[in-house]
Amino acid sequence: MTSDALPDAVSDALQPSDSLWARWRTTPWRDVLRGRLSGSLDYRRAMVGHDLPQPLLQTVDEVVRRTQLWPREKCDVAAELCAHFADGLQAGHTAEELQKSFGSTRESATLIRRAKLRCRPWLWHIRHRTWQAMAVLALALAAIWSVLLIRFVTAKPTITFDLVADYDKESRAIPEEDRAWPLYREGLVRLSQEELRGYKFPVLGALKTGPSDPHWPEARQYLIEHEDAVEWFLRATSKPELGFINRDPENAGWLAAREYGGWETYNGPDTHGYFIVLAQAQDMRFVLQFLYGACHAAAEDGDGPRLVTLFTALLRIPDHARQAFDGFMADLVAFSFLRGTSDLITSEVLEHPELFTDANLQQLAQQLHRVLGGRPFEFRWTGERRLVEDYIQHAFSDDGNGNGRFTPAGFQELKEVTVGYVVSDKFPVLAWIPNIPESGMADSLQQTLFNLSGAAVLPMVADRRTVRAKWLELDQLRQQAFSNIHGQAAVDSYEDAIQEIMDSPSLRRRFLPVAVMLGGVWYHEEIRLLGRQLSATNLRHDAAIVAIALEQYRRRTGEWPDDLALLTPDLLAEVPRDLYAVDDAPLTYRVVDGRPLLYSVGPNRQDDGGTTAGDGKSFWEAEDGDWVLLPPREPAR
Amino acid sequence: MKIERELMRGAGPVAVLKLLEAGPKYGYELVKALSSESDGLLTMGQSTLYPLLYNLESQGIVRGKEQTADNGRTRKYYSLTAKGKRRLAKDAKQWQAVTLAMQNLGVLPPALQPSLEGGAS
Repeated sequence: MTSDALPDAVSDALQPSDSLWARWRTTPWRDVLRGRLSGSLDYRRAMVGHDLPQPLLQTVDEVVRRTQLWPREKCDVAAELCAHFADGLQAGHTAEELQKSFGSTRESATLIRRAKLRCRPWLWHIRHRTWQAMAVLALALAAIWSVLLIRFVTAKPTITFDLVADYDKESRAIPEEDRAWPLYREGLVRLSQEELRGYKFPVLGALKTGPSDPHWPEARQYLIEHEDAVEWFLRATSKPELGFINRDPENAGWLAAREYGGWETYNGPDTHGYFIVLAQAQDMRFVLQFLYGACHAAAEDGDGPRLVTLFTALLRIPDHARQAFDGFMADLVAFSFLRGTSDLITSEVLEHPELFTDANLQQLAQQLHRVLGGRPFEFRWTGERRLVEDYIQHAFSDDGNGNGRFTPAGFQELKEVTVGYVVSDKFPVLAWIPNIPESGMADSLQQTLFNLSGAAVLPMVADRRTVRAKWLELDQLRQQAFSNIHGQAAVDSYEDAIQEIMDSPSLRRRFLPVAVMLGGVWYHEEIRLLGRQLSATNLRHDAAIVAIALEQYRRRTGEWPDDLALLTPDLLAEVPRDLYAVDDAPLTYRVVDGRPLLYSVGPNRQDDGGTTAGDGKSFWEAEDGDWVLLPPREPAR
Repeated sequence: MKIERELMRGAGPVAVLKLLEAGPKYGYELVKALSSESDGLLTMGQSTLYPLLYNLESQGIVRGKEQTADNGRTRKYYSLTAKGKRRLAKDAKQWQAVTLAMQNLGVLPPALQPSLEGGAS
């Protein structure tokens, strides 16, 4: 390698650099490919040979260095300025004069750089402008993001009420001697988790099915072994109110036996949102099955009075289940209990009429009329609306005027509520925004990721007032859809409203809590089936009342009536309407093969001659065929 | 007399183009010519001249070409391009119009003739 040098008198600072790196940077590719680090694009080499005094060389060096141009451009500028000064010296000017007339080196460098950049190829300009635009965009995004981040991390919910504590307050107001739950609980703790879910599980099915079940002998033995539990259940059903208290240390034993955790965490202060645990209602299903088993045993033993006592108890359980919660969820359970009990009464009255006295039948009919407060049975929605308000207060900040913005806490609750539900395909944000970490330095990265990602996405969620209004609007539509079994338009309105949100990514983000809770967690596609459970409850409750009236008529006349109208008004206040009949006609009745046949035309609203769809579906799932009420179906296994 | 910066910014390019109309010139030559032919009125420092030349070069109005002079010094000579000639003609007309307007307004005396006659010859 060669190195040209400026005159010895010139400062070392103005000498071309001999460092390998400097040579590498100022060597054209052509030379590099030839294996030469010539450093020919070092502008200080361009200053060689002009024999300028040091002040002028310093001026040139300062200007060229400040331009920050490409090496080749620097070389051009340096050569031109040196030639200029050399011409000036040759014309008789002194170095000082030339330096003075040159002007400001800083300004000159700026102007030269600006002008030289304009000379660069258009491809460079495109790239340069693109980078500039991206930088401006990044800065703008960073600024916006920062504002959003501050808004996000400072948004805190304002809690004004404790929903579960409010429910408990209502329960505590019930006199202790009127509360059924402590007695149910006493019976339930006598049933171990292993027995209910373990090897004796077939026994539970046999308790419901009765003697026709192959496991019935084991079930009878099980009833004998747990006779005390049955007695606790019977005592419980004599109480007027359920009186369940969520945060009650007395529940510790029951919760431990059920592996539900500690009593403090059962709907505890830290668990909230559009969500409440109703294990007490769920466990009453075991109560029901035990009493079903006891009924079958009493019937098998020919013990009519015991059977009537048990039926009386069973008809109290739907009311207790309904008192577990003042909303739709508890109603579903209660209606399910009533359907099962109605079917059992229907079956026993028609198949073992000898077990009932006339007074027993009269008494059962009256109890059937009184159950769940009498007809019409309807879903309640108060509890669901209270849950909405509870979620809103835990998810949004409150500006004091009923408005506020979505908070990190609200998002975290959405994530927790949806655990176990398949919602991630519609709500990717639930998957890719991490959880809020519990605590600790190790979680600081996760917290940062949560804040950064959450700040970008969650401000897209509408404000508190808007989300609440949309939620209540949909809730109202849902209520209408459930309350009218023929209201296809109402069902469609609700489904369309939900689907509109679910089909639109922007609406899903805007109404994220509503979309997740109503469109993701609630399977609105099943609304028809859930609604039909109400129809089924009404019809099977009607069937039990008609069955008693038919037996009473048979006892008087020795035969089944040809028409249900013959039962009115003495034995039946009025002939039940068929909820699915087009013209509000009564249920279809006739005697076939010496047995009463009673049916509804079902959801297809056509008389199929009293035949079921026969595809093994649940009562309310069958689209075709009739819903045959009498003779009663074999209890489901 | 010193020309205001804004006025110089408008007059400088057309003055340089006019000087180049006569033939290629290098930077120092242009500085000298501007100073001498305008009685020092349009004297331009190097820190202004070279950026101006680079700008004109970037617009394709002048073209720079290195040549070795008789004394062995390599200089960059600037010459007008065809586009530069058109630009000079256009700018000169505008200056004439401005001068006429100034005369009509009484800012310039009627007898004063612009020293820079425009138009490519």
